[in-house]
Amino acid sequence: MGFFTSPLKLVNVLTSGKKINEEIKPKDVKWFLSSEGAKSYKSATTIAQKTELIYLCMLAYNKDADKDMAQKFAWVIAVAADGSSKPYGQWPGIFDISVNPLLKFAVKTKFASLVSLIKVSREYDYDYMDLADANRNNIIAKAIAAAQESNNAGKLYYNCEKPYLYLTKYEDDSELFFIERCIIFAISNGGTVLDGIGPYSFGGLEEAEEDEDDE
Amino acid sequence: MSDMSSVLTELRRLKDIKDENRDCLERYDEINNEISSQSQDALNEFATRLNDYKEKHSDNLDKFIPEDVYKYEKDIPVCEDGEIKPLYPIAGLCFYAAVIFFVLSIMIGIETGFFLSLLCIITIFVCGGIWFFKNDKIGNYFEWKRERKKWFINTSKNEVNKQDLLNAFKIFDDAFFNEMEIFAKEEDQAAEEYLSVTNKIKAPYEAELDMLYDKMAKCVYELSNSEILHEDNVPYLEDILRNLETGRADSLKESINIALDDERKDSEEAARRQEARRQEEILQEQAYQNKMHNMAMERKADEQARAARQHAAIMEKQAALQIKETEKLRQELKRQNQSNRR
Repeated sequence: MGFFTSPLKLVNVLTSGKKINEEIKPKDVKWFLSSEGAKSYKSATTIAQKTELIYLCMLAYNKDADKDMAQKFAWVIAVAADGSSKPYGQWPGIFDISVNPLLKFAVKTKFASLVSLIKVSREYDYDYMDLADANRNNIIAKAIAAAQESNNAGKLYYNCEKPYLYLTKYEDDSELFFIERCIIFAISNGGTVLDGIGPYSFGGLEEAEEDEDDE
Repeated sequence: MSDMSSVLTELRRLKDIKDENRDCLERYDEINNEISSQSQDALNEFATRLNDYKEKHSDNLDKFIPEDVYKYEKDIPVCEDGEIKPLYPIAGLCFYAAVIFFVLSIMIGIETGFFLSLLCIITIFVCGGIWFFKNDKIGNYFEWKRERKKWFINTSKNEVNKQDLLNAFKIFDDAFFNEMEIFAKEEDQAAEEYLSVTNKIKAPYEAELDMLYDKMAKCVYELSNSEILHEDNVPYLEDILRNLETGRADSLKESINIALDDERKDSEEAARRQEARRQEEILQEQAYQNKMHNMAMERKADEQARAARQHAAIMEKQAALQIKETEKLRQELKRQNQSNRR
């Protein structure tokens, strides 16, 4: 309710109306790639500020992007990719969808909604938690594959492929290592990293478990 | 004649080989099934051991998992689209000023005059109207500012240190690969033990299996390299031989043709029977549908008849009432006539 806004605030709005309108005006992709975008990027010094800026850039590319996932990926980029020697470690690459694979992944991917997961779990009589775990690990695998710019998503998902073998080692590329781990731990966010399928799962166990189930 | 008898002898020999091959195959499958059933326990034990190892290593790794890596509050506040025109705050300020002036003038008793009072009231209504309908844009802006500030305060409390985070990931990674190495060794060992158990189960049968395998290979070789029968015709060997033995065919070629012809006829007959069965199913389905339709129609007719009966009963009742009514009127009329006459 703005009806009871204090007159002092109204005076403030009146005197700095242009600045406020600039502030609230939705930024488009061009703005992020322009000198103003560069200025904002330079002035953002904390991870939170950078996360916000990258998140707004994601919304500029796709206003219907999954908000929760976009925020997490914005954080991953702000923490791990920003300041790295990767082409997307600096402005303007960090805001450029053709350069930044994580930005592209967060913006272009259609993530399964909670409602659709519940629907599938009911339709096929799956355990909802298992389905949510599988979905989360699938996102992680695809995001890591996007960061690696490879087609390893399937290998990073199915544990019979021993997915951990396809993760980047610190000695090989410490920056990519950091990005991948940020993806894993930010997306799983309290979920069990080691169980079931996914990059940090123990390989070759599912088949044995299935055999046991069959028996 | 001697030719025919030699053909028959050769065909009988081939049939014996074919029978022998079938017996060997049956025995081979029997032994393999036996081995599989005996190995099942070992396989289950292998699976259980692997699960136990996995659980053990997962437990060992739990303490290395970097906790709460991402601690940000959900949803970064985003301001809603909407330009704030200077008119809105001006309208708001004028409204407030007019209200204050008007109230004060009444309270203190300042002589404002008619025109000033009228101007004051008009300002309150006009600016108040604009302010009433357009205040949400300014309200949203201040709401967004407040939410954003709150979000930044909360996130700054949970801000991560990049180097600490990287170190935590490295520690976890090292621990994971260390556990994985141990797990791989345990897995290999368990697999070796499983193989040794299955080999032990297999051992008593090995010689027989080899012998059966050799025999089957020999049989297949002989059957596919016969001088008088092409390997494509081996499946019809029994029919070909029977045709010759029963005199249904005079030569091997004729017997083969008859056997193939029989096979073709059998296939056609099977296809025909299948088609007939399909047609019958369709007819049955149609009959069922018709029956259901008839039943529905009957039910409808029954309902209509019942409704008609009910209607007739009501009409009958009404007619009886009318008769009663008429009788009453007639008697009334009669009574009146009598009284008139008197």
